[in-house]
Formats: sequence, C-alpha cells, structure tokens
Amino acid sequence: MNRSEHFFSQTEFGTFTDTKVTAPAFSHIYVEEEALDYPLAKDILHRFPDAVRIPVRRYQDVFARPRQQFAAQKRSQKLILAVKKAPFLYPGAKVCHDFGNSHFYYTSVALNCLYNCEYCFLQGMFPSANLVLFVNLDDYFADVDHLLKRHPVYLSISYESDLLAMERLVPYTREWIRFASLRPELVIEVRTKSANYAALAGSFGHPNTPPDNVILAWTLSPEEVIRRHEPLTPSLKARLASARQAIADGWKVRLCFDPVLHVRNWREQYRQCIEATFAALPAESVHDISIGLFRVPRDYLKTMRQQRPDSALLHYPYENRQGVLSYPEPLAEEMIRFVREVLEKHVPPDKIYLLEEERHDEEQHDEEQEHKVRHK
Amino acid sequence: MYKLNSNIILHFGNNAGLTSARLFAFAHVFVLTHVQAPVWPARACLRYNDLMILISTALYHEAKPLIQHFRLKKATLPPPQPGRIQLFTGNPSSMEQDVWLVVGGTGPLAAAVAVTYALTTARVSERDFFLNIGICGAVREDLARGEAVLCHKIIHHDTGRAYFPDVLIRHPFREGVLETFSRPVTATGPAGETPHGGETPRPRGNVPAENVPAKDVPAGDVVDMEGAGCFEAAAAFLPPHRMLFIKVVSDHLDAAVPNHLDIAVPNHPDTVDTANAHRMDGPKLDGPAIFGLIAAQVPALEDVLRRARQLNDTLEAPLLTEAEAQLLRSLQEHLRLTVTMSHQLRRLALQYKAATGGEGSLEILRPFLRQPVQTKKEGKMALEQIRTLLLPD
Repeated sequence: MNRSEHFFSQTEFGTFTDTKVTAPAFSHIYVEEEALDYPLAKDILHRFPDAVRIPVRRYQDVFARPRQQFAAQKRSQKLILAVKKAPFLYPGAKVCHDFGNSHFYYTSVALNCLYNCEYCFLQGMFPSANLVLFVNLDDYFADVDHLLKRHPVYLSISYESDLLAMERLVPYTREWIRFASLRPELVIEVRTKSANYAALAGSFGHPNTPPDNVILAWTLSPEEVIRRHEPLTPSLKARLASARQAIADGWKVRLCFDPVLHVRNWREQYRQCIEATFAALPAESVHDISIGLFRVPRDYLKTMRQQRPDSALLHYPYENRQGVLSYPEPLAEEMIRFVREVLEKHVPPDKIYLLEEERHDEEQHDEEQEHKVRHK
Repeated sequence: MYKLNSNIILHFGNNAGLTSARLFAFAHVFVLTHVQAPVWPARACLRYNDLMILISTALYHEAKPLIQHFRLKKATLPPPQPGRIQLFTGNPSSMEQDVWLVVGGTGPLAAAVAVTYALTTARVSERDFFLNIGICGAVREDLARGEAVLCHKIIHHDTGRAYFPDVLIRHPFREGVLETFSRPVTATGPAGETPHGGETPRPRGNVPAENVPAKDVPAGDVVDMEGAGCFEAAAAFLPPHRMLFIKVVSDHLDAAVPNHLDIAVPNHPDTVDTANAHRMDGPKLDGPAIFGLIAAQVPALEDVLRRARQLNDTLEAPLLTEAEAQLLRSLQEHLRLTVTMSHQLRRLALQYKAATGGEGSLEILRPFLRQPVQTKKEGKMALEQIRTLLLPD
C-alpha cells in the first residue's frame, strides 16, 4: 500500500498525526445545506460514517474565518463539502507553465491538499488548511463546454490540490478524464505528487486506450527534499514507479522538476534525482518536462512565514521581482542552467519547458556568453 | 460617542456589522483596560507565564469547582470596578501556565464584556487559550443531565449568526450545536404556557413543533445564554482552535430550570449563594447542584487543556533564543546596517536556524562583532560574508 492510500481510512490516516493530542483527520465534516442533495456529497459522507457532521450555510462561514492557523489545522484536517458558484474556470497565472498552449486555464474542484509541503503556496493563499470538496462537478463541465464553443482549451485541473492523491476519497480525476475523453478540443493536465496511478489504471488502462488529450504530470524532487520538505508525500521511487506504469499503459506523462529548491548540496541532489528518474523511465517516452524554481507572490510568502515560523525554505532571503519572490538573479540562472544541462543529457531541448521569465533569463545569459566568446 | 476620564472623547461612526450595544461593550472595556493600563500594568502584575488559559463562566457556582481545583485567588481589580465582573488568577503547577477565570454574569452581552475585559487585562497573546464552561438546557432528549457537550457550532439566536470553534484537540465529550439566547429559555406547557416565565415556548419531547413559531424552534442541541457572546469577544483576540466551549446539561427546559438572572455572583468567592439558591424553580438546581455538575467534568477538562498546551508546544517553539536575538541587535548596530539590511540579517539567521533544525548556533556570527566597521560599505561587505556563511552552498 502506498502512503497516499492511507488517506482513505480515518483510522489509518491517524497514524500520521499525533493522535494523543489531536483528533484524527476528517473527524469532522462541515456540509453546506445545499450540497447534501448531490450524490457526490452523499458518497463522501458514506465513506466517513463516524465523522461528526456539522451543517453550514455557506462553506466560507468555516473556511474564511479570521485568525485560523494553517499549520495547526493541518494536524487535524477537516472536510468541507460545498457547492461552487461561478466562476468555475480561471485564466492560467504567469507564474505557471503554459507549455505553449494559448488558451491556458485552471480550475479547482477542491481547495487544499492532503499533503503538507513546507513550501506550498496554498498556505499563503487560503485562510484555512481544511479540505474543501466541491460536489457540483456538472457545473464545471457545463462551463468548459461553453468555453469550448469559442476555442480549444488547455485546462489544469489539479493546481490548488492534488486530485490523484485523493482519488479513492472522491473520484474527481476519473470524472474529468471521462469528460475530456469525449472532447478532443480539450486538453487536461493532472498534476500530482502521488503514487496513486493504480486508481486510474483500472478505469482507463489496458485494454482500453488512455485518452490522447490527458496528460498525467508528476512533480519530482530529490529524496532528501521529499523527506524534509514534502511531508506525507510518496517517495521519489514510488512516484517514478507510478509514472513508469502510466507510460507503459500508454498515457502521456509529463515530469515537473518544480519547485527546484536551493538546499544544501543542491547540485548533487538534483543530479541524482534526474539520474534516478531516467534510470526508472524511458526518456524517449516522456511527453515533456518542466523546470521551475521556487517562486511565490510576496503577499503569500508573508503569510506563509507567519504560518511556518520554523521553515528554512520560507525564511530564505528571496528577491522580489515584480511582486513575485524567488532566488536572486545569478543563483536562479545557475540553478535553472544546471538542471537543464543534466536533463538535456537524457531528453532533447525542445521537450524542456521553462517559465517565460526564466526562459528570458536563460536566453539573455546565452547571448552574453556568445558575446563574450566572440570578443575573446 | 464615548467619554473617557472627562477629557477624552471617542467617536464611533456607524458600522453595519456592530450593534450599538456591542460597540458600547467594547468601548467600555477598552476604557477600563487601556486607559487604566499605565496605572496597573496587568501582565507584569498578574502573569507568571507566557501562556495563559482564560476560563469564563456566568455564575460563581459554575466557577467554584475550577477555582478550588486550580487554587485560584480572587484578583483585586483596579478602580473603576468593572460591574459585577470577578477575576480569579493562579499558576497551578499541573498546568505549567497561568489560569485566569472570569465570572461575568448572565447574558451574551455580559459575557462579551467580561471576556473582553479579562483578555485585555491579561494582555492576551494568540498563543493563549480560552474556555467557556457552564450549565445549559438540553433540547435533545438523548443528552442526559450531567453530560458535558463540546460545542462545535454556536448560533446566536438574536442575530442568526453561526460561529465555529475548531475542534483539533482530542477530547472525551459528546459534541453538539449550542444556541445562545438573550433570555432564559423554557419549554412550553401543555396549553402553551411558559411555566417558568421564560421568553418563548420551546418545542421538545411530546410538544409538537407546530405549536411554536418556526423562528423560535431552537436549532441547537443545547441552549445557554453566554456562548455566542463569549465567542464573539474571544474571536477578536484568539484563533478558533484556541477556543473551547463546554456546556454541562442541567435540565431539559422542562422543570427545575434555574433562572439565571436570579443567581447573583457572590461578592466573596467563599460565600455560598444560599440567598438566591432557594429561589430557584427546581429543587435540584441550587448552587451546590451546579457546583456538582461542573466539578464532575474537571478531570476531563484538565486533560483537554493539557493537550491544548501540547499543541502549542509542538507548533510554536521560537527559533531564536533571547541571547541570539540580542546578538543580532548588537550586530545590526556594530555593522551599521540599514533597516533593510537588518531585516536581511534577521531573515538569514532565521533561515540558518531553521535549516539546522534549531541546533545551529548563531555564535558563529560573534567574530563579526570584532570586525572593524567604519562605513556602511564595510557593513555591507560584512553582511555579504554572513550571507555566504549562513546560506546553503
């Protein structure tokens, strides 16, 4: 059983929390009165028969309370079942990769995540660590159909959560894939740190052909980074095993080395991570790869530092570039260049995507190098 | 408008979110605490620890078991006396933190005033903890007399607003929804009478719901007169996971209902309120009975409060020791750092401490105190050396 599978049992999940002090995860479920009518809500409630149910008028009454402490709530995360109101889709942010797609959107059927990554921007973005699950998927689908009448859509469905990690709790990913499989003009990306590909394999794997317009994207980090900074997530080895099986079953698999972190001995850590990746995966079968440094809007980082006063990653003296904090310029360039060079030993450069700004910095650096060589 | 010491006037503009009564309550407490603060530096006088638990009750008999258990002493409050509010403080060794207890009287407004008064007097920090405990009437038949209910939702009947304390700490109590009324709540009699002179008939047991107006059907599992007022006041200072509301069932709104307003807070903590106790409607809910109901819950409560302390410990161990904070201040001065550079130094130090799991000592920076620095440029160079020293390679 991989680690993510523990989340489907309150008792088992309790092994990850200090049960002597805190209540087990999902011990309480807040339910919007309106949500109760949806089959998805009934299904989720059925999975947690012992949970205390608390009726709420709107999910914000609980989720948006003032003075909540994200880190404390992560110790005993609660569920909130709600009905999402429009808008259902958002234009992709500049700090996210668009992979060359011109109509880049993201959507959130869930707010927050089962994992507890130290650097996660959600702790600066949301006032609560509780997990909100929206139960009106059909409204999302209707909105996508409406948009598809105007142009093709590239949609990231797992930016503000990790949907595949919670697939046995709520089958969002399968529902999205079923929906996308009938709409060739829609491309969806399912980003995950989980090792839970098995949850999809039964529905879409062999002998069925996986939809061509679905990309399964694994975020990969060095084992040491996972151990120290990505609590509750599966190991690199487990993620790679999941990705390998997905490739074998014919899925498009994307690899995301994002965020790359400036940790001690970072060069060796990322070199080993990349080597391990391509020892496990056939490089020629990887759809594409993205590289991104740790970056976060200034306002988010301020809140994140308050929430995690003991985090070395968050206390790092980042540089502010147009409201986004990231590593200082020379270091940022060096980190991107290093990771890119190691990757290019395995895959052609045109498979590697950088963010717009980082791509610009890289090109500028290349031009400078060329200029220096020419004038030597 | 509010008048302070005859020569300061505060004016509160219209605010749709606050009733004039609430504004008055907060203004009143603000005056009592902040204006008097220079005369009576409360934290310095009364607090022994960084952490504190504030317990609030409406009645002295609800407070008495806790006063005895934690060996609290009545605090002498500075003039002007805050009405009938009584404050008890102590430093019980079993809790390893200060325990304050405020007895505020009945009703949500009195509760809000008392809690605000106590929290501001204590110079509360976000790491402190709040507990409201008292007796309640049970709407649900399956809640037995003497049973303690942890309230995960609190409805203010007058406003219809709902509040949600986080339930992060493991506890042994049953949970339920508390509804707070401004006046005593009683069940209706067979003919729709209100046998105890209460505000509005409440349906329960064999009384059909259609006999009472829909708006008056309690949404809560239990009802009281303080919970929502306590929450509103405490939520102005504390995060929702540091607030706990425990209500002990004293009756089922049918018989022996204590008329809260008739139970005065004794002027002296050792005085049993016998004068008022015998006026209560039911024979079993006198002062000693209330004492017994609360006292039975004290051991379980103490366990929960200890867990709350453990949650604090694990979450918020400070990264910098006082000596290290002093070292950073000395470095800022010696290296002639600007405000921005000082901020960077602190950030570097925090990053280093966190990266080493709190074990790395900032003593490695002490040699910089001996480095001669005459200009800002030299200070900047020293800061760069510190950056190289403290950041990953």
